[in-house]
Amino acid sequence: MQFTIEQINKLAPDDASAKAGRGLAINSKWQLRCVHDKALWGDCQGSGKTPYRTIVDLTNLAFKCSCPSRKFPCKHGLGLLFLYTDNPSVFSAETELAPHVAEWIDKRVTKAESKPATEKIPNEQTQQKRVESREKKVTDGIAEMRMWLKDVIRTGIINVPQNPYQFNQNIIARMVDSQAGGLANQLRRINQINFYKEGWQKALTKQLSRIYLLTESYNNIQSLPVELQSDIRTLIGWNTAKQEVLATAGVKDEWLVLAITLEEENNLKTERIWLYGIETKKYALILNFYVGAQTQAHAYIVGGTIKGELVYYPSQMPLRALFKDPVEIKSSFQIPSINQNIQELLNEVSIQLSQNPFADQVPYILNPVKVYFEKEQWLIVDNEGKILPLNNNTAECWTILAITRGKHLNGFGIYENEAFKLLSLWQDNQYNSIS
Amino acid sequence: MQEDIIKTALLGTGKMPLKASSDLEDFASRIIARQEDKEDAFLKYAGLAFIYQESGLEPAEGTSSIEECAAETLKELNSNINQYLLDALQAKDEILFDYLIFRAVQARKVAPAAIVPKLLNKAIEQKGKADKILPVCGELGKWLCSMNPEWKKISEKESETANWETGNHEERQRFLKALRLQNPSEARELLIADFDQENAANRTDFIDLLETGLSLQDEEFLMKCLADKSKKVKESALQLLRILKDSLINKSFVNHLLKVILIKEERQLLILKKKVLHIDTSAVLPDEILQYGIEKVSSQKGVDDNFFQLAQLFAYVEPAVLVQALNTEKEEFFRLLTEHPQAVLLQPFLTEAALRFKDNLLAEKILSMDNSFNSKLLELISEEQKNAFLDNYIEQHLIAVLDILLDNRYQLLQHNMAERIIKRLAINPYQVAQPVYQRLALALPASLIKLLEAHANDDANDYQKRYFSNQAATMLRYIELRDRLHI
Repeated sequence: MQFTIEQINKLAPDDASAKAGRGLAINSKWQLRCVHDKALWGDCQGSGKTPYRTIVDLTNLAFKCSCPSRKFPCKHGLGLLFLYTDNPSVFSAETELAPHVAEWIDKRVTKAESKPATEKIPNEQTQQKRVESREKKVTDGIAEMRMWLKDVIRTGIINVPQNPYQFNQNIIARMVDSQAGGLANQLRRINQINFYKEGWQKALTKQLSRIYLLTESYNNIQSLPVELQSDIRTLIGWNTAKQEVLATAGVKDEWLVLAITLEEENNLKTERIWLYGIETKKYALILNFYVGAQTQAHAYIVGGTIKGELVYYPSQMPLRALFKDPVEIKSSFQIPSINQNIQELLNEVSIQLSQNPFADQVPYILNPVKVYFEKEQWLIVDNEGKILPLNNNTAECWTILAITRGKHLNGFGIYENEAFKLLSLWQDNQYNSIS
Repeated sequence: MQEDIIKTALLGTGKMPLKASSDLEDFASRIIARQEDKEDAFLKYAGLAFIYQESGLEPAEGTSSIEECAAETLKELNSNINQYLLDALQAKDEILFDYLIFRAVQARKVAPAAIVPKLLNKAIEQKGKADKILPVCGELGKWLCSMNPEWKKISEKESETANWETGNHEERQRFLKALRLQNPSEARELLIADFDQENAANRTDFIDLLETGLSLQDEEFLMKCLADKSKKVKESALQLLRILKDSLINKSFVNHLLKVILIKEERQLLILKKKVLHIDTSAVLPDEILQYGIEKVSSQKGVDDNFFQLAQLFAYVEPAVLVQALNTEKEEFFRLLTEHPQAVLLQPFLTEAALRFKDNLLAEKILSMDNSFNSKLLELISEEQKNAFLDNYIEQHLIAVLDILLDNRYQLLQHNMAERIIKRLAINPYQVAQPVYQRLALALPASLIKLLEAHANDDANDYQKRYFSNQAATMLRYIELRDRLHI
């Protein structure tokens, strides 16, 4: 398995760990450095007398260390991997795993093969009561939300930019109380509108009317197709139990990790892992949430692949997914060989909206396209001369232009609100993360 | 369609009723037929209309007018160095950042594309570093600078932006300085043409710039400036006239000095003869000289006013002129000056002369005197001589010595000198700040690692030792990092 510095950096739970890890990528820090087809292991001299024993599972990337750090992977695991990437010749090649390494690897294999423990499910009656109680709360909340939306539109939105970040705070809090977290999130998206830039009027009206239509759909949910019902319930804030999803049939493929993004709001980090099936040519999105100091619980490598079975959450246009069984993480670099232009992207948007009018994010690979700017606006243009506004921030746009040097690019991004946001691109056989 | 929706949304359904588009008339009438109220109808119609519009969105057309960037002629830094560069930028570790940029320039390598925008932003933040950062940005940096108005400023040479007619004061100063270097007469004439229209502060600044390429041709203009209304303008002009060789004022200084100093032979131990410098300290400076800005009252403790006035003249006269007039050798004259019984009193003025007229030999002689440490004088002498002096100054002037040693050439210190510095710092570790330790580490030879390790592992409880132990550990990290860089 060959890693790049950027890939290892992305594995770090935070910048400090990555930096500390690089500080440990020094030969002299490691009393023992061994490599085997299946694992890397080493003893790192810390501040105590006994060195920390660090292992990296190379077959299915994972870390283990005897240090007391709660971070995963810890700086020693990262340091060992950095050192191996930087200078593999200092590792002694072993034909057999050391006993403690073999024990850990065996345990991992056994665990992977055993079936996951089933969660304790409350009895049906209690569950039913809970659902009914929540339904009532949500219905009451929706009624309040519709009232609020009507009030806003009756008086007009012209004065909203005077107080753009406060005008929806009470109704957001009300939706949280009503256990309609999805609606609260829809309302929060209003705060992402740039009220200092022309165009806010359309963006705000669009979002307000979209939320209203969503509440209308929820009120008439029984008349909709089953898959669309799931989409609407999810957008309102209902969760589909993981067990339920895992019980459905999966899609086996080698999944290319297109991009991993992390957003933080109110002490909650939302991680989005965008995947693309090399055989099935399907996109998938894995959502992870971390609270407070929680860090990522996976070792996926951007630009690399994951071999495994994905199960999609029920949806008219399935996108959100989960891995069904333990997966095989590969750092082998892959470039999607797709030629798609902007017209094809917009056709796809059309299809998605016809299936689910609330589809707001469409993942797509555009190739070949160029990035340029005109009249202070950043644009993406394809070979047919069709353009779309680029939704990245200015710093990211300059980075994209620098990486591509004005040449064509092969990039993955998200279509949203009539613009495209590039999250990653492949240039000169190299993967580049933009987010 | 959109305009009507937005108009209603802006003013409110109370003031502006919904106007349906002909495309969606059928839907609109169905919505209105089942509406709860006007707002319900508007929100449903708007939501539907936006989805309808986005479903049939046709892309606009355009062409990229950006030309491709030229290929790099230099090789790219390896990914490890890039990561250190990024770390240094993120952690605002200026010491490491400067060092990595220095090494990259030295190795004639360029940063990878993704880092170049960050480096250009850094060059904007710290304009003083722009000259060093730009080469590391390569062709890509030039290309990006040509398109980004902010970055464009750093890539343009100073003289390119400077303009005498329309520039601001700083730009005009840059322009005049550049012209003065190329064509001193033209610069002077340009200044004379606009001089009266400038305010006093600007006039002073422009006169100060005439020190570059100063010649007798400037005397007439400078003499006129002595009649300026502004005291500061007069002082600036007078300062130049005092140092201008063969000017009326400078000549009067030389002539007076030659009247009061004499090299004569004195008999020693009855047999030996020795040359000595005799200065007539009782000679009074005539008023015609005193009027040229010579301080009348001594500001030095224990120095007689007459001698103080006379000593000031040494600061303005080029030593070579006196040497020639006294028909002696530089070496001998400087020796006699520095051996004079009142040489200590002359020292500050001789230092001024050595610096002003860039006299290496005089600088060396002054530095050989007791208590003569002056970092600027050290810049005038050879590297070898400098190191010998610095070695002597470690005990008393450690901070200044470090300031000189740790220059932007990143040369390794000699083992002995480095060891003395470390030992000195170990005794009084708080005399320098942490960045100095980091910078020092980059100049320490690997032969000092054991000494540093001993300090780093020192478990002493004394707060000074603990502090130095931490600094030693930091220095070890920097040394390891430096030695691992394979650019």
